[in-house]
Amino acid sequence: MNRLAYVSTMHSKPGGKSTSDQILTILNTSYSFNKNHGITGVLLIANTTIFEFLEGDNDILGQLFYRISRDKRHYDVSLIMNETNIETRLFTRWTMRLLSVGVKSHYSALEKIIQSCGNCFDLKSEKDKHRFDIIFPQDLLDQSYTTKVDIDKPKIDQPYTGVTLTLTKWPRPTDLKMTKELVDLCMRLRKNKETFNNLAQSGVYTTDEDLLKDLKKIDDLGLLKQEELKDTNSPKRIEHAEDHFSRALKKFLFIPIKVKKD
Amino acid sequence: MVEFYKKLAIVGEVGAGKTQLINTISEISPFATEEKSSVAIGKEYTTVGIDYGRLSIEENMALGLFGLPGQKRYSFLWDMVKENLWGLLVLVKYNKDYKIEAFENIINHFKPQETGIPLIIGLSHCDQVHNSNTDVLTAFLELSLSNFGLEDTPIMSVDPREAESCLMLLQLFNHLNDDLLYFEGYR
Repeated sequence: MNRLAYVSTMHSKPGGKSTSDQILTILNTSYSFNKNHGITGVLLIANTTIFEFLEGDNDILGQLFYRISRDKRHYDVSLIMNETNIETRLFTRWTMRLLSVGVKSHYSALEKIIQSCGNCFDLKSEKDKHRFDIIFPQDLLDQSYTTKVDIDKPKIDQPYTGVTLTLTKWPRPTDLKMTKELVDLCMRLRKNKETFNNLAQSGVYTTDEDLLKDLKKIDDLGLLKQEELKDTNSPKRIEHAEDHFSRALKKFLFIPIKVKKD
Repeated sequence: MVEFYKKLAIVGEVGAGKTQLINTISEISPFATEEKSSVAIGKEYTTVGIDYGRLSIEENMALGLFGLPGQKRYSFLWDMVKENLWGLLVLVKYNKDYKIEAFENIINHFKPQETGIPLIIGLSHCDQVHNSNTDVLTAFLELSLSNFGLEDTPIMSVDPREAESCLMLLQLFNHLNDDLLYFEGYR
């Protein structure tokens, strides 16, 4: 398995399309391709600077990078990391996050990359260094270079293995301060019996640790019902016809969109 | 040209934040119908008609935002928008003397328990009071909702001045409208 990362710059307005339109197009095409080809990682966008970290099969990653480098939505694509024969994935799925300068809500993905691969980046030009600095702010690097962790360490124990989870009651406003992620999580748990893996694969949370933290918050309120998973296989997801409006609103609100398989 | 148009009704008592919420997320200046209040209600202007705002989701798709006064005497305005609603947001302003009757009048009129209109209760002005007081009001609302068979209704605190808080409500309404996630044999 390979791991690669690149930086690039998005055209500000190719063909009159706004940056947000382009981001939505990138999100939809990438999500579909990566999910179907077992590619995991994260795409980070700060203004017009793009950083993507990808893990997957050697050949597929090679083909994918060829496509990426020819994509007209961005330019100056520069490969800054290419590690071969890795054994453990850093990300269990592929997600996209928009970064705002000074906002730390998505730093967990950045920290994960820097802590594990901080010394592996090869920044050949000043431009690459500049774009890298936009994505990875210096204060984060200062904190993290000194605490490199072993990526092969076992994943943290998560207490929700072998069970289905449901929400017994909508949390009171005073019990839980809602976030976009929590709203999504609560709605999923309210409608269905979910497994941890299904929730992790929904793409709402960047890392399993973040998902686990929010599940524990709900659990601590006594609102999470756990039942033994009867089948050894995960519950099968059925995709209902989704309303066109609903799909568009999800895009508008930047909520990960389910991709239907043909 | 807008081909897909959905309506969100936002109903609430005086000062609950309907106009502010629409102001926060509407892309057009709300068509507001505010007048100087004739009685002391804690603010100079109050809505006497329908506030209207719009949020374009895509080029041909928009969400209409209808802010409606919460008093029963304006129920003729409720009738003007209540058909084919995408969602009903009842905004409740924290008030230690809150009159549940006004809330129940709204539920009685829109009948979400029969029509299936997605319903959310938004608690506003919670930042100004202690949690225990908000809890009392929440319990009060939960009891009332359960009497209507609506015990699953989400009650969320909302800050109508904050776009993120308002957009979270839209996210929740979208989920309520969306029966996408379903697991065979596990319901």
